[in-house]
Amino acid sequence: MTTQTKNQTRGRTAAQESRLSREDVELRVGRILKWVFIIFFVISTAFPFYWMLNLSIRPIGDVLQNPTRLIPTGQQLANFWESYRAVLVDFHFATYIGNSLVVSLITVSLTLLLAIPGAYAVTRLDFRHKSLMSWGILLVYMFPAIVIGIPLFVIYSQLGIRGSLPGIIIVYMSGTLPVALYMLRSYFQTLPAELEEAALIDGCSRLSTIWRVVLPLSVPAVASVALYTFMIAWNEILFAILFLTETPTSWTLPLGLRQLDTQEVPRTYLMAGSVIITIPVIVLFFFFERFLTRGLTAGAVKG
Amino acid sequence: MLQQLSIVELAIYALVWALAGGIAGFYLYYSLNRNPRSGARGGVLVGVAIGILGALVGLLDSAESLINAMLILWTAVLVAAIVLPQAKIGVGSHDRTVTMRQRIADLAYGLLLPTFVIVMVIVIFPMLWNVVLAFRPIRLRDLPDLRLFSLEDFTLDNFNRVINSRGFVDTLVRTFVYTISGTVLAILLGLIAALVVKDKFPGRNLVRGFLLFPYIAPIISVVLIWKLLFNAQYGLMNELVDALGGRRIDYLSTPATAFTMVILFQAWRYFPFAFLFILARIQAIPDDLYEAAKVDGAAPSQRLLHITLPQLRAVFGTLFLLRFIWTFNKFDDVFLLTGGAANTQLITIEIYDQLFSARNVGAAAAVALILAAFLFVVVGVYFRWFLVEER
Repeated sequence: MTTQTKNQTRGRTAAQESRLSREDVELRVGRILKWVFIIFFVISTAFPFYWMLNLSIRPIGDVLQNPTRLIPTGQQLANFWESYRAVLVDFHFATYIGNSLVVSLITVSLTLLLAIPGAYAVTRLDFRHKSLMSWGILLVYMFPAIVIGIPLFVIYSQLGIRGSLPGIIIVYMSGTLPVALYMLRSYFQTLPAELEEAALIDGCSRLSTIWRVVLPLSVPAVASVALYTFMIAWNEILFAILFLTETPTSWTLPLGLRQLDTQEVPRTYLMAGSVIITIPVIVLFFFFERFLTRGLTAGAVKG
Repeated sequence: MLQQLSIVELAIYALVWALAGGIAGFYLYYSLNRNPRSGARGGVLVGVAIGILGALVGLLDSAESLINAMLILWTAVLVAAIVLPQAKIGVGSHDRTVTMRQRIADLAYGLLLPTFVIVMVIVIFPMLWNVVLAFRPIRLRDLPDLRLFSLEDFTLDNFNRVINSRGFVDTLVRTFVYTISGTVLAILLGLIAALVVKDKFPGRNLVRGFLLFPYIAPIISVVLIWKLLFNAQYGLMNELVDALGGRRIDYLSTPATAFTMVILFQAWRYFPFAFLFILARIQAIPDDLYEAAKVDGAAPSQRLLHITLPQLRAVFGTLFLLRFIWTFNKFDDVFLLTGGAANTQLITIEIYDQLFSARNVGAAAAVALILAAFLFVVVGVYFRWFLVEER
């Protein structure tokens, strides 16, 4: 009898022990796995960008001889400006940067100009077809760009505005407006309506309420929308390929870089161009990371 | 110049003009009087007038001037609709016969109108017109002297040509394989990344920042660096393989590897998107659940399997849908990586090839229509299944 109960208790503690040790073992394995994966992810996401920088500095001859040289020599570092100068001056990248800046900044300002009042209307004002409007925004957002690309190509050719920057800005806006509306709407919904009501009672018109009450409260959201819109316009290449390829004076940075990708151009220059186009995005991103990660999930930014 | 127009064409011209004018007139009257009934009356009046006028213009002039005139008309109405109500919106100047509710709705319509117009002109109209294009024999050389709204040359040739072209079915199947495996891999990587980064550790913010790099960087620059990393001559990947005694190949232009590479690229570039969504959801799971499970003796792996993953089901559903749609539509990635060579041709690249290599606008529109139809069906099926699942 007694031995039996003794055995039972021993059995229970043994089971408890093994359960505890399972917890311990799994935690330990988990910790190792965690660091293995962190290293894997950091290398696979950050290394390609480091390599881009590396290849943009080393002359192609050196790359062919020492493909695995991880750190450029002092002399290569000292001459790093050489490839960038060649890209900016000899390959007209200065022009493309100008075009890209014009296109992106105008797209950002026009998008904000239209999306802020629009998002306010969708959140705060009551009107029929309101939910239809919200669904419409969502739908537009899902729609394949390449499908509207063909008819727009025909219309733009017909109108003779295919190679023009205003033409492409309008197309970009059709892509950025839904994103901006969506992100701003989800932010406006978190603002207390009482403040606006107070302003309205005090005699503000709706528009000046937006200007004086809503906007100052929404600086983070507006900033993240502005940055996203900028990134979308800055990175866009599909419509640039479709519409601008035949008019080199209107090439944006991505298109210019793509046209550079031929057999004759040394890869060093190609990588220098890549660095030039990537740096603004990464710098902006690190400056505003906190806004951006929140905005990204709030608006489900398309990519 | 005088063009010969058919009755059908003339009717379409008149109809388009009447519609454009009608909507414009409606808005004008509506924004002036703040009364839908007067808006409708004005819309009909202006619509009919402009419709007749438009038919006459269509009779006399080319399609180009039609589009130009329509753009001018719309811009004018846009400006009027924004400016005119402003004069009345200020305090104290409102019309007493309209209710507050109506005025608020008016304002809302006014504020959304510009967005609405842009979306109509740039997205909805081209989308619908793509259907017409798909049934017409239009070549690239026919531009820019094309009759935009003719229906006389209706034909099924484009579809015949496209569907019977060599490898079209393969392209379709490949697009589905690419989309599904790319989507699943991206979500899986995103899940692992979220699980790894969810708890605090030194340098966590920096790591999280790095993880988003592939997603935020311009597509062209990440494509170029991938091409160099997997290049046969001096790509790092080949240095590695070489050291292990393997054969040097250009991974992105060898048929045996290119398609896998394209899927891996898709997973690499878009896992950060899934990562952010999943991370946000994981951090919202209440700690009590884990505590309770711990008390009940659930090991970490069991907590992951029976708490975390079930809590993430809705996020997986949304992510899969979004990523599926966007991957299915995606053109730039694979186009820039391989150009559709080496067994990586996708439906979206087929559209581009039809337009610029075959120089056949009609066929390109037909492929685009097929793409849209497939997307529509798949998303419809998914929604149906998804809604049943939720109940």
